[in-house]
Amino acid sequence: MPDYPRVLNAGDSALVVEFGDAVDADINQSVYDFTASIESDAPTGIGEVIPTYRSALVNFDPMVVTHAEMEMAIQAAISRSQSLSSDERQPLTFTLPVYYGGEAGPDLERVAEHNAITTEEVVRIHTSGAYRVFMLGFLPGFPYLGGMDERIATPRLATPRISVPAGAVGIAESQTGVYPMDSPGGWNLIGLTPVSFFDPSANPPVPIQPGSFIRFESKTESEIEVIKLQIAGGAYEIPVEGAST
Amino acid sequence: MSTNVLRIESPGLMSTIQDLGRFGYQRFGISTSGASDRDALRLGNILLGNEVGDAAIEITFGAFTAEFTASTAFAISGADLRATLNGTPISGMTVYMASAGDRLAMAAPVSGFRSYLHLPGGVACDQVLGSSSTYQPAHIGGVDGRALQAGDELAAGDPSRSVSAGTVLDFPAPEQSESQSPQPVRVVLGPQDDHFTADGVQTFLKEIFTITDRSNRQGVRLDGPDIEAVNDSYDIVSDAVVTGSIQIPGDRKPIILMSDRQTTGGYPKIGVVATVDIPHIAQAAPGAQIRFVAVSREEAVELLKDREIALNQASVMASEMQEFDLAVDSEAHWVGVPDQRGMQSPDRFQVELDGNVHTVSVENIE
Repeated sequence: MPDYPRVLNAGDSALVVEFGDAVDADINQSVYDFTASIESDAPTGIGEVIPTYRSALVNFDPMVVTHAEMEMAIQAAISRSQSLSSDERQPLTFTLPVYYGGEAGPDLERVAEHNAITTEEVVRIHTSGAYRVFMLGFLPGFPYLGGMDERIATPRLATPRISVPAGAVGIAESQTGVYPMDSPGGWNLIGLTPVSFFDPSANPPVPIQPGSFIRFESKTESEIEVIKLQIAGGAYEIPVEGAST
Repeated sequence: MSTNVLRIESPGLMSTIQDLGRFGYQRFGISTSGASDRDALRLGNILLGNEVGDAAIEITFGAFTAEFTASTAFAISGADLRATLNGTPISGMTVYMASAGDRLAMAAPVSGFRSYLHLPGGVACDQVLGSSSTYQPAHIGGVDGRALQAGDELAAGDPSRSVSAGTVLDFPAPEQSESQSPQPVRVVLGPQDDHFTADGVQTFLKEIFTITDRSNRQGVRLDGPDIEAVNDSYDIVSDAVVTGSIQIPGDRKPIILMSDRQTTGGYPKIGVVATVDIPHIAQAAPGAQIRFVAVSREEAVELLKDREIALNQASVMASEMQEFDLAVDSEAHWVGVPDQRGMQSPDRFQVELDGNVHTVSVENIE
């Protein structure tokens, strides 16, 4: 077994900093602690840092800084990140309004039947968890969420849908997620959030941050209509807890 | 919005507006996109006196036709797609003047796979998240986030920019050694070369691979011998990728990730193509053969430095070729040199006055 963290080559303009080899909350937290650390004291020549499940990719300009120099800056950032206090590690939690079932969640009953529980229990279990955003990828704003309760785990649809609407909340095996844009998909759709996960005209274009947490909150049809109006008027903000500022 | 100068009649296999890419949003899952052959894009812009990163039309394979709807300078860089203006063959890396009604066509590749059509000041295009690059999967950039269609009308970013027709920029092709067949592609091994057996890595570095027609702006899929992974495992916990990452999925054949790649991937990556060789991949058509040669990361950086120095020299050459309008006061012989945006004025030039050629030296006077 290799010693972690370790630094690996990713071509002539990037290095990968690995903190482990598993989907694990502690490893993932180390990735985001490191990312915050290296960005708070950005070394000369550094480019985008891309945090993922168990590693961070550090882009840099090799015309400006050598691999060896960047490795030293990375080691320093690792040391700083390991001495962060738990207060400094307080990640954000975003609460997303969801309308469960009906046309917005055509597979809610399938999920309930598969697990031999009621649809109300599916919603209660789904809204009780805080889901770690391990990373964003695949599509703009697509969150890889962890921590779903096995009591609502359900296999993917045998035949994927040709079109799933943006904002659809789904379950695939023991994962839950949100479709950021209209796309084909095979997840069981249990609800719909009116919040846009990808708006290229907004800054940032994706409202949630990787390394944070998501909660889902069940809303009635009329509450959702109010939120939609607020969104249309630019007056809606996703409720966030844990913001240090 | 300035006047449209170009109307697409046939976009061919695929034509998109691209600049050097969209950076800063990969952690949100937003691809960089950008020109597949960044060097060709930059050279065409240098030739026209544009900013190096100005947007151009990336034309794939050919079967492209367009009509100029107003007079404008233009230039083509990248692949030789047998371009013609009103049926007359025209050359790459040369500035031409087109008039309203002129027809530009690109038939099929003589060499290379992707051409860039440049206009003065770039192709005018609204930016999304800091870039004009088209990224079709997210429907952003370019024209409505899609590939160009027949009937699309485009404008030049800076139609007033004066460029002399006939200006040529002769940039030595990056040692496209026809003698060395197949073309060697340099790679830095890692980050997951340890997921492959010693035999697997040897196969990767010794054997010949063929570019398949299942290749696009997202990735170039290769055919060739199987590359053996340890424990036959072709999955990893997903991590971030770069342009040029070579992933080996369960079919054991390499895929080279290109500009429209996703930001993360779940397959092990045996190596990353050296940045200087990515244009070779971008310009290789399906059926082309390549072999991989391992270089150290430091060697790859040295190759990149040489390329950047050559591009800088090309930029200086281009600025020296600019023609200057001289305002000459016949009494005092003061010479005024107009500002050339982003370029240094030459310190020596020749002036013809009353039939006599004079060499003029210029120095700054406070």
